[in-house]
Amino acid sequence: MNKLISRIFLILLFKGVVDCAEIRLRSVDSLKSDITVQQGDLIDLEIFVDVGDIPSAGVEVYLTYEPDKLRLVNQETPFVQGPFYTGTVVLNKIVSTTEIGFAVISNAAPYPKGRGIVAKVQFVGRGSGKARILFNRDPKLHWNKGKYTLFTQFKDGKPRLRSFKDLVDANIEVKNTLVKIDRYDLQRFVSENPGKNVPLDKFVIISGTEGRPKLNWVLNAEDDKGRPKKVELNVANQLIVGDLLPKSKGEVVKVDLRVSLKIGDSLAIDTATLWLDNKGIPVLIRFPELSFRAGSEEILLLDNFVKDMDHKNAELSWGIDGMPVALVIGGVSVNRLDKSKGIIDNPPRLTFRSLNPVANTKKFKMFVTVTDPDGNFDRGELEVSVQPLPFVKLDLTLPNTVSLIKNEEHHIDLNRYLEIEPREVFNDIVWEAIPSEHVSVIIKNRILTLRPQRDWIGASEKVKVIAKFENKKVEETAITISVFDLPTDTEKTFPVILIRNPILRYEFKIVSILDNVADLTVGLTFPESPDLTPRTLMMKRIDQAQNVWTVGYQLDSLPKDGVKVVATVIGRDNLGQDISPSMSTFILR
Amino acid sequence: MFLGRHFALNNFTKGCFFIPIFCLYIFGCNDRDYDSLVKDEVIVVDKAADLKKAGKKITEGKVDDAMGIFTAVLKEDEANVDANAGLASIYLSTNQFSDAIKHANVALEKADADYQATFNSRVGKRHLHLILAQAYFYSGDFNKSNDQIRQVVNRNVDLPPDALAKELQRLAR
Repeated sequence: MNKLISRIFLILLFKGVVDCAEIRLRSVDSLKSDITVQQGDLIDLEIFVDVGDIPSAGVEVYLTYEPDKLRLVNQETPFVQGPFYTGTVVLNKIVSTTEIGFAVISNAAPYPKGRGIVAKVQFVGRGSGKARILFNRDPKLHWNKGKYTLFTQFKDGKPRLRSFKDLVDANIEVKNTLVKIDRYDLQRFVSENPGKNVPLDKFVIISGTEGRPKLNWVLNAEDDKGRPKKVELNVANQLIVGDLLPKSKGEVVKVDLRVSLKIGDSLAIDTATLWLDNKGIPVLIRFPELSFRAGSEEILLLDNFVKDMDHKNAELSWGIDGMPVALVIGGVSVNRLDKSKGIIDNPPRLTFRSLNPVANTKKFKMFVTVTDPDGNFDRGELEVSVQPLPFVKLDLTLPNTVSLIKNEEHHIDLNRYLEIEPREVFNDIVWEAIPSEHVSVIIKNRILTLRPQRDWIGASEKVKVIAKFENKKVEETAITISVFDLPTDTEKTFPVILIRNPILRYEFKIVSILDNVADLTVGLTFPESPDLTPRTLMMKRIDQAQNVWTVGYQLDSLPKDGVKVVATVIGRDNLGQDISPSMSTFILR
Repeated sequence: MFLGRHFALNNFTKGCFFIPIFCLYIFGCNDRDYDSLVKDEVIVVDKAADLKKAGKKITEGKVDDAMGIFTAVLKEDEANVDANAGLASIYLSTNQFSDAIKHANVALEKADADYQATFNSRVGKRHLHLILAQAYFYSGDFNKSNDQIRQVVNRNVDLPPDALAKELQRLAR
């Protein structure tokens, strides 16, 4: 019986469908029922009705949705009452796991008619794909369960239940959620803010506007040699840069970023690579090659060879690796002295000085390291070249004992006993002489002149000859001087022979034959020729005969009237004792 | 530097050569850079005149100039007795005894018995022996020095060094 009554009622109800009545679920923004959103997007919907010209006293709406694709935002009171029906909301809740219901009844006039918004409801796109929100409209299924969408319309002064003729559901397409790292902006931030922590989240573009979802980051870092580096985020998802930065010039650290966002079953991922270099590293400029002579010094002002963008020059510390032992460094500030690595002063300067003489130009390589207070450093190669002092050898072996005649000068041409290497510095060698008590010494144009004090005779006085290059002594030698008085004409203790050149008649050699003699000197005087200067000549032993001594002399020319030559030979025996002088007189015509 | 030379014309043939060269020299000198044409070397044109000039240089004490002339003569005539004799005496004066011996020997080998030097008429074979005797003495070869003395004094002598030196002094006085 009840079944029969119910069927009769339904027939009456559907017969009572108003031709123009419409209910529509549509987007608040676009007013359309076909809606496309991203995963995570908030979907604002409104229930729009058009009840026609006859006033309506209430409405009852049931919506069915797919919870795996859409999440109802407000689980307690899903709907927000709209302006069309101003009566009492009698239903506003979830009615099953897939359905929500809303009903409002107006108890007092004026009753609304025409069209308007009944309520609003919010969902969030959850799973990707197509999702529909349907009005419950099945006369059998929904009516029987009491979840049928209908409205009331006055007829004969009383409200009657009516079905909507048109029910337009919402068709929603939920697209995959995207996260995208803005690589360009991220890298630019790092470059423009050296050393600053990087707020990674700010550089992620996320589709969906429901607040700021929590992003998950996975980071890996390695240096340019592939060695892993510890990388950390702080609680605000900021990449902590400080310890991650490379410490030396030219190095970079690669940070691989992976950001993920999980919404429902969907996982959005993006990756990027961030390169970190250290703008605060002090950078060494190429050092010039230092070159100096052995024994001299060369100074290098280190501040001139570093660029530090942090302007921390005053705080930079310097060190030297591989300091050659052959070099020493001066310019000491004791508190910054590092004996093992060299000496650094402030303002930092390196003062090199070679420790030992070098035979050839020697090059030393070492490494200078500059470190700022943050531990950033750079390392540069420094080459120091030490040039040898010129080799100067004055070998006065033969005349190292010179016998002079009283009141007579003696000249020694140093060129004959001199070796200088390289020859280019020949004229740069400065000669100095240290006289003895009774013998003065003059060196001019490399001719050494020994001049005994007036009327002084004696033995074993030493004069010194010193060669200097750039104020550094490169050679020193000594000559022992003995000064004899001229013997009288009657003395002739051993032969003094003058042998003239058969053709060059003004050239002759003085020959003496004497055993057990260490050195002999002949003094030539020209008593009747005031224009001719007396000469002192060292005699030389003939190689094959130990007792035959000789020395040559050449007059400029032979005077017409001839010349008288007095040759006086003096010397010492092998025991260092003075021998008795001998003398001969010759007339050359 | 252009070295002015005296061109001695000894015969007609030389004259035939000389006249056109002289004309070229006179008329072409304005356009020539003689510094680059003539170097610092002696060019021998007349050996006898040049040797006499060398003798004069020796007398004046200009040994280097004399040596240049003797060397130039030897380039054209390496057996020239005068040039070898002159060079031997110069090498003796500069203590280059082996060179002195070499040139003196060449001169002796080529010299006639009545050799008289062009550059100094007083120089003869005797002087060449004396040069050799002195050079051997200073070299310590007293035997060879004695050999040369024998050639000069025509006696068989074998003097010890001191006596040899005195004899050399006497002979070269």
